[in-house]
Amino acid sequence: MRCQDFQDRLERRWDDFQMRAHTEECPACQERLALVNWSRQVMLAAEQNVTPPAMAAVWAAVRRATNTSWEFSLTRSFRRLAPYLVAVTVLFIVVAAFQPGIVTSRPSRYASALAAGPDTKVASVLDPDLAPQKPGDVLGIGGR
Amino acid sequence: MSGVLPELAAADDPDLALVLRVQQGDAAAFEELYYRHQAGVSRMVANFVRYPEVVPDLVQEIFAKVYLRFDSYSPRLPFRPWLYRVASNHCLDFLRHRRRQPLQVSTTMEDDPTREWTLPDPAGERMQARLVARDLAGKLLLELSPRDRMLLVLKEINELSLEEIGAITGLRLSAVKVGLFRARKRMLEKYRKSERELERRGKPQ
Repeated sequence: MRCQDFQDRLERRWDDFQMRAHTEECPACQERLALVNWSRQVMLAAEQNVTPPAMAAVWAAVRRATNTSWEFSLTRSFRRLAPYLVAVTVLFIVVAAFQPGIVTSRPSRYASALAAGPDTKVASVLDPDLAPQKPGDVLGIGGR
Repeated sequence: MSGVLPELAAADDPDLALVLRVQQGDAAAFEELYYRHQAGVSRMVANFVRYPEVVPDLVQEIFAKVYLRFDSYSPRLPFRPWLYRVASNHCLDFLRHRRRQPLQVSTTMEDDPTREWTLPDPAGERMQARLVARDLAGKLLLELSPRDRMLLVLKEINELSLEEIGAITGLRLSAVKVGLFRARKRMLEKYRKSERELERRGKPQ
C-alpha cells in the first residue's frame, strides 16, 4: 500500500488489515495515524452541543429578513443614487452662478445704495436739500 | 464552483424532491428540510463560532437566508453542501463583525478560583479531568485560524465527506486533505507550546 492511499483511507475513516500492516512498516504513516487520532479526541472533547431553535423562530427570522431586505434595498437604491443627486445639485449651482440673470459678479445699483449709507430718498422728504438733482436719480444718490 | 467533484452529483441527493417543492412555494417542505438539517447546522455553528449564546440566532438567520435564496439555488450541487456553505459564510461574517475575544470558559479552578469543581465522590476526579480536557480542547480549537477550525469541525464534528467539505469551502480534494493535515499539525504545535508554558510556570498539567 502506498502512503498516499493510506492517508486517503485514514481521512475517510477506514480501518482495514492493509492499513494496519502499512502502519507497522511505515513510521511516517504511524505518526500521521497518531496525529489524526489525537486531533479527533481533541475535537470530541471540545464539542459543544446546543438545542436548535424552534421552527417558529425560523419563520420569525424569515419575516425579519424579508423586512430588512426591503429596507436594505431601499437604502441601497438611495446610496446608489446619492452621488448622482449630489453631482446634479453641484452642476445646477455652477450653471446658476454663471447665469447673469440670477447671480452676477457686477455690483448692482441696490448694492451701491446700501453702500452709500442711510436712505437719502426718505431723508429728502425731511430735508429739501437732499432732493434728487437729476430726473433719473430716483434714489437721490446722483450727487450734487 | 471549482471544488465540485463528480462524486457530488445532485441526482441522488435525498433532499432534491423537498428542495424542488420549496422552490414551488411549499412551506411544509421547507420545514421538513429544516428538521432534517437543524441538528447538523447547529452543531457546526456552535463548534465553529464557539459563542453558545448566539448559536440559536445564527441558526435562525442561516435558515432564513436559505429560504429567501432558494430561487438562486441550482440543483447542480446537492443541498447539504450548499446549506453548509451558506452557514459557514454566515458564521465567518459574524466572526468578522464581532472582534474575537479569548475563550471565556470557566470550567477549571485555574480560570475561576471562586468556583469549586472538586466533587467529593471518586467520580469527581474524572469529572474534573474531563472539564479540564474540554477547556483545553476548546482553547486549542479557538486558537486555530477560522479556516483550520472550519475544516476540522466539518470533518470531525459533522463527519462530512472530503468531497462535501471541498464543495463547502471551495477547495479541491487534495487541498482539503492537505488543509486538514496542516490544521491538525498546527493544533498539535499549539498544544505543545501550551504544555511548555505550563512547565515553565511550574504548574501541573
